[in-house]
Amino acid sequence: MKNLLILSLIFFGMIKIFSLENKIDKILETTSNQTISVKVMDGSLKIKAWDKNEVWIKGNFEKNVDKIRFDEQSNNILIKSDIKNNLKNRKNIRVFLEIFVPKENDINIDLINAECEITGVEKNISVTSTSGNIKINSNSKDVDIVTINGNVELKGNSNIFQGTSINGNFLINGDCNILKIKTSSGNINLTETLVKNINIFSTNGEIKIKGLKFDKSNCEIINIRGNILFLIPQEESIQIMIKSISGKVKINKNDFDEIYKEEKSFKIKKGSGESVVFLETMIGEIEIITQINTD
Amino acid sequence: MNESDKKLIEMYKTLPKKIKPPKDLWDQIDKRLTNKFSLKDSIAYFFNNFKDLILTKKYVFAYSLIGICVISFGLLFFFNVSNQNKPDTQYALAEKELQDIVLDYEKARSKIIKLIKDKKEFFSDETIVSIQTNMSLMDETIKEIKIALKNDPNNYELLASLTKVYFEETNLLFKTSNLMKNYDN
Repeated sequence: MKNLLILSLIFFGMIKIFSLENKIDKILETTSNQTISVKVMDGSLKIKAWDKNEVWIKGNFEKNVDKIRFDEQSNNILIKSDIKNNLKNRKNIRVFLEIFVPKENDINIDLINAECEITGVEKNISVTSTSGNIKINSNSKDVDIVTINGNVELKGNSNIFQGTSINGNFLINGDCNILKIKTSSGNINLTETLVKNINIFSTNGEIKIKGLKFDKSNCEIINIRGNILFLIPQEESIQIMIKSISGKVKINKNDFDEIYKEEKSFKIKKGSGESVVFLETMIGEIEIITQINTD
Repeated sequence: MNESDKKLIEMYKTLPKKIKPPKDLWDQIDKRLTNKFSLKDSIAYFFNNFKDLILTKKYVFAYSLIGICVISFGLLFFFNVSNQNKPDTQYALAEKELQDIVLDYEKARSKIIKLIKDKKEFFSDETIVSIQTNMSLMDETIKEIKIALKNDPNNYELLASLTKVYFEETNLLFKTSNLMKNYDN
């Protein structure tokens, strides 16, 4: 019985190895003006920045992937997984790549179901993904992400972060000069983030903002049907305008120095109100809580 | 002014007021010296001397013209801005903006429906369901605001919200369709 179990394990292990028998290990020379573009349908992708002027691609791919193609041009290097023609179904098309890129090059990634992790890239990052999750941990320039169902996690700094999703969630824990997120049903979670300008629009998702650090910031956060939970540090100098057409607004009046109430809007102020926040909902709930600093 | 001039002026002041000079050196100066203002005379004088005015006082004329133009444009701009801030004008502008954006929304929507059909093989069932569900949710949201607007037709805030929703959702759909059409073998 024990031997049978060992044999089965070896057998399945062999199947697994044969299904991933295609390996890739290639180094490409690059210059800083070349964008590194990667197009992968399924699997996983790890992009890591290094100090060399080379792109090192290593990994393996499943049997229905015809090849990994490299297309080098003066301003672009394309790394693409080509799928075999006339497939009955799109199974065994996964690619598992680890790509080392110069940190000074722009990165452009197109994924379908593949997951992606980007670390240490200092220039512009652009990712489109249907349903693969995206993790970025970099001090990059501009980041632009478009996804349908993929979840996005951002750490580190970026000048402009622009995220668009249909159902994908956003977890932002990094500093941005400008943060723009547009989603239909994705949840947005901003934690411990320093921002100058925020522009968020959501139709149905939940928005939670906790421990946001303001710096004479301007923020517009609109959630048509979903809720907004806004936790602000107690010491923050801020003025908040709240517009609720048919929704609910929950605030503790004692937390603020000034409160003006109009028919369907509030204006509340703490300190001199250096940062300005505009919150709006149609039928959702807006709750503002002042956080006591526990540091 | 010397001493003899001063004496002459003093002598002239002592003369009775009914005595007038028989011939003016400047035609009709007596009329101009009287305090009575005559619009008819002024207009007549203006037209009689129009040519001189243009030729001799052309700089004054040019600057006056520029001044009039600046003031007119200023007033025009002021009234235009004031009109834009009026709720009625704002409402009309928002309505116009809305009409334009509704067409774009419909276009983006149709594009995605076509892409789902054409490129179905690239997307999982879950992805397709997610897109379709969210498109229905977008439509439902728009419908809800439209109903609220129907009940309160002069509510500018609602109209602005509807325009904003259309605008943002159209952008979202266009970006999604660009992502979807990007896929091939």
